[in-house]
Amino acid sequence: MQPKVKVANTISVVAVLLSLFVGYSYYSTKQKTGYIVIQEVFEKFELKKELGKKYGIIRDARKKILDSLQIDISVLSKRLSIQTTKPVESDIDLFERKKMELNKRMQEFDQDNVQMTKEFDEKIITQLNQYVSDFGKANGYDMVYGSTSNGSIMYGSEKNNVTNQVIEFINNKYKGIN
Amino acid sequence: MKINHIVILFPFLLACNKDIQQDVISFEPIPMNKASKVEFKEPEKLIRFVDNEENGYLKNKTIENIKYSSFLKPIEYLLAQKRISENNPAVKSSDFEDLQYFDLRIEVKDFKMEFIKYDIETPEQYEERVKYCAFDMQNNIKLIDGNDTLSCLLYHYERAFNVVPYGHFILGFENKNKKLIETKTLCFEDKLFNKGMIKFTYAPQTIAKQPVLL
Repeated sequence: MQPKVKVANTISVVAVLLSLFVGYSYYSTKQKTGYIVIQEVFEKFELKKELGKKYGIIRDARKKILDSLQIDISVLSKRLSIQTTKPVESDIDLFERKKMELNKRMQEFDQDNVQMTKEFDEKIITQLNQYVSDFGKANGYDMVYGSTSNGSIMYGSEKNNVTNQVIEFINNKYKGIN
Repeated sequence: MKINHIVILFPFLLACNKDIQQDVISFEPIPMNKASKVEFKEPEKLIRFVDNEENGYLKNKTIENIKYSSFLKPIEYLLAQKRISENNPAVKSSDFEDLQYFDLRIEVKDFKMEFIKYDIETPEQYEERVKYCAFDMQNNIKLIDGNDTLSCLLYHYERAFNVVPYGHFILGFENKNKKLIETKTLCFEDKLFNKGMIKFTYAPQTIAKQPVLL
């Protein structure tokens, strides 16, 4: 073997080893991080959409019950107001009962709606947290930060924004696809 | 020298190539006559094939410390089980064709007692859970098969007391004998541990890989 070729080969081997070392050091020490826009992830999570729909249906059904009571009260009120003779006691009783029922129902529904929202939110957040954690593990992330409007992340480069990937991942997880 | 350049760049390429990758799964319906058959002469081998998580019949999901498993049991799997347990060659796959069968399993991680005893405060709460598992839970399970939402027709809770630390539920849904293999989603609204809706989706390409016992 000629000395020039020998030197070239040695340089190549050293270069390869050096690049492997640098590459490994870079690869092993660099933390993989990303961030998500929490509000967007929350809003686009399938479970949130489903429970949002369910909440809307229940709230509307309750509103219909209240509206119906409200109409009954209005009719009764009108009837009582246009009566020329002294109103019958049973009509006044009925009017009062309906008003009480309306107030009672309104209170119950308000409380139930608050409770339902709380329960739904708990379920959404429990699953969301789990799937974001699964996303991090499955894709080798050391950290996935959550960006909220309260300034928890003041700036993040767009290349570290994994919101769309997380939305796709968590929705597939929720559906039980992967 | 060109090769050397590539070799030098290789570790960097590796480092950069760690992007998020997800398999693309098709949910296009597959005509029944296009289903591929995976043939087995021995029932034990068919069972091993279906039991293998890689073949897609068994799916797991963990929410916090609760692990849910769904197992889609092809008819030939039930046939293979019967052939082994009863050693009866007269059993035919048509004996099972009225329903489509699933197993649902619920397990509390790192909890060695009966799973429904987890996080209970009173004996009444335990009784409520037993009753829920035995009866009411059936109403919280549905199968979405293509565009059909099917109620759970066969429901059996295998109560194991403290023998195994998980709950095992045998489920059956109407089998409409369609001409298309469509996406199936097992939906369970968990009112036991209140984790919300738990879903397991089976793509047509998984179901179309049908094991057959020769």
